[in-house]
Amino acid sequence: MSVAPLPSLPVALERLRTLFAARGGKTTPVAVAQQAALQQFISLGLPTTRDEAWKYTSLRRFEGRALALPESVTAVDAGLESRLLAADGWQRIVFVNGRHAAGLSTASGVVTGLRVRTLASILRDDPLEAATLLGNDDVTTSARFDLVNRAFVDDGLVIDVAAGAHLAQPLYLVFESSGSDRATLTTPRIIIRSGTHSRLTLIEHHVSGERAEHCVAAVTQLSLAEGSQVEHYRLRREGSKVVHLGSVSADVGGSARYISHTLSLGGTLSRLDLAVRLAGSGASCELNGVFLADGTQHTDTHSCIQHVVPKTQSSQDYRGLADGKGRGVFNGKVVVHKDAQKTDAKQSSRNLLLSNTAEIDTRPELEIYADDVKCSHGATTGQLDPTALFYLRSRGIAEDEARGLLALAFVETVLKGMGIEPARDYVSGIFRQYFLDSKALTP
Amino acid sequence: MLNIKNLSVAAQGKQILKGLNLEVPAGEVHAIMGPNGSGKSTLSQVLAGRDGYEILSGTVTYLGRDLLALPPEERAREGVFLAFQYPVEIAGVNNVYLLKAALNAVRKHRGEPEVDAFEFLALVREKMQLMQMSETFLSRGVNEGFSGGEKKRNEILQMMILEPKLALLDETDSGLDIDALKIVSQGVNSLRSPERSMVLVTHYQRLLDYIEPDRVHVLSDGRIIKSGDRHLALELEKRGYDWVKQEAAAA
Repeated sequence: MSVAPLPSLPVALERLRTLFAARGGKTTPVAVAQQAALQQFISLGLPTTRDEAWKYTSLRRFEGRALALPESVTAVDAGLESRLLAADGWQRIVFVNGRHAAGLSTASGVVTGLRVRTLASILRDDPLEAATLLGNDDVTTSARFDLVNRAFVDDGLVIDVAAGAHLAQPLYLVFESSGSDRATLTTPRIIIRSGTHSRLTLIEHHVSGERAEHCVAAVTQLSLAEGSQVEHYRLRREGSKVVHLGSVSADVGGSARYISHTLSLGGTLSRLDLAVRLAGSGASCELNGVFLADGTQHTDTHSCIQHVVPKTQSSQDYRGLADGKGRGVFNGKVVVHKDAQKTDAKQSSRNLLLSNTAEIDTRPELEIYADDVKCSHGATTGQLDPTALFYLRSRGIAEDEARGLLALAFVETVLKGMGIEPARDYVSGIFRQYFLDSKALTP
Repeated sequence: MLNIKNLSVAAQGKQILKGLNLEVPAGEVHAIMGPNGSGKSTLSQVLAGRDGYEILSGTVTYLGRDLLALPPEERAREGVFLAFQYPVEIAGVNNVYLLKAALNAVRKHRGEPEVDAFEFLALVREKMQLMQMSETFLSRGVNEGFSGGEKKRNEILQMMILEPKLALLDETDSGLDIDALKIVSQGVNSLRSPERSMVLVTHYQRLLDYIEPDRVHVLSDGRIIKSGDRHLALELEKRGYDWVKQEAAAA
């Protein structure tokens, strides 16, 4: 397969094109879809801060990376187990640099109602299904890197939950960036389809050691059939040099419920696009999350909820923290379509600046085309309450510790919503260590 | 115990304390009364180490040390306790956690080992009973959702656990009904000892029916203008503050 020569592409796009060519030529239906995705990404160009959806986030740190394709890894970076959740009895599936690592995964005993296949096996055995899965549905400017994922993806998971199945244990997916200090491009893709009235808890965990300089373009696509529920933890704690440009999209059917908890931590540049489409009457979603940017880190969370039909509900509760010269961005968009009467949408974004050089930009964005709706939003950015700080100090608590306790208290209120104890303890433990102990985010 | 000499303090460019003198010997309970805006709360805030106040002149000596040179946490560890007029709500920091951290900070400062978790909880329960506080207190955030009266009781509970040498009670009676006032007063009285001094800052004489002071001082326009025994408080209750001001002006 040849890529048509284009004159003087920006260096980052030229690199992607060269990288794509280096994967070798195939003419399968999948390869055609992948090339189309790359072509589309290149012709649209990299988003810039002139694009509304990228106003506060520059891709300079991505552009500076000399990307490499993942090599097969013989040994993962030290300390993998310590980066993971204590997950007794859960089915664990590990990916290293975007590729399934059977040796690190727990034996996949048969779980009734759950079908898990790797994308690599589907690509190999059923190119037509694979081509369909990689589809050509529209990509928003906000989640533009979905196209990079589509172009390069060679592994991931397709998870089907049978109608009526209630899975007792969470499914634990790990994405480790490892084994290289080159800017390896990893592109795992997870596709989840929950059958009617089924229930699934999914933990998607992105980790790396401090050495990693990977560029992770991960995509998770969920489709929730009528009456089903998916509780999705997307926990990201990566080394300080990682670039992470990920997206999650959920299509929620009638009376189905999507619950999302996100943690965004580490990485020099990170972006999460979270798009939820409430497409059936009675559909609902609850999104909450916490991010922290310290050092010179930049972290961006963009949520977008589409209320498409009448009687749908959404609630969002995000907490952001920035320390040092860190910069955080939260943009919460809610679109209420013309017919979506009786929509109930709540959004709260509270942010805490822990230093004078930190910055957080938060912006609610409401587009309402129906008239009988209940939409509320609140966004605040501030510093620690000096009266509370004095109160704690007047009880003998040292100033640093008092600051830490208050910052921790700010985060804790969101963590309460995390029902899976090992996940909550993990997140709370990270912040406890950061605020009361080492002041370091090193994984 | 506490010796304040010629203390002048300004906040936001406005002078509030104007050469205040006060001596509180060990074991005594002193009441500071005065009209609104006389500088009562400024005095207790400055003694506890709140920033935002400018010390223009004067000294504060506590157990022979320069109190004003210490950060608030050091003062607390040295045995100074301020019961806040408006205790702060801190959701997400547990009541018991704060109590334990505060007690351990004092113990560490004295070179004592950390308190045993089991014994500590027993101690807290015992004191909670004295203050008639509900069991749910243990699992809640600091003052989170507390009524005004519960907050004040919580201040006294903290004081009971920390056993300070110098307790400053800033308008502890304000917002309390008569039953809560009795409970709070009992708590305070149980802490009276020859080694402990207390300064009650209050607007009304009512509190002094339950906590009998050794001395009563009238603070007006940033200065102590009259001192006496507990009968002075009764007289103030009857006659108001104007006569004291006139007396001071004449002198």
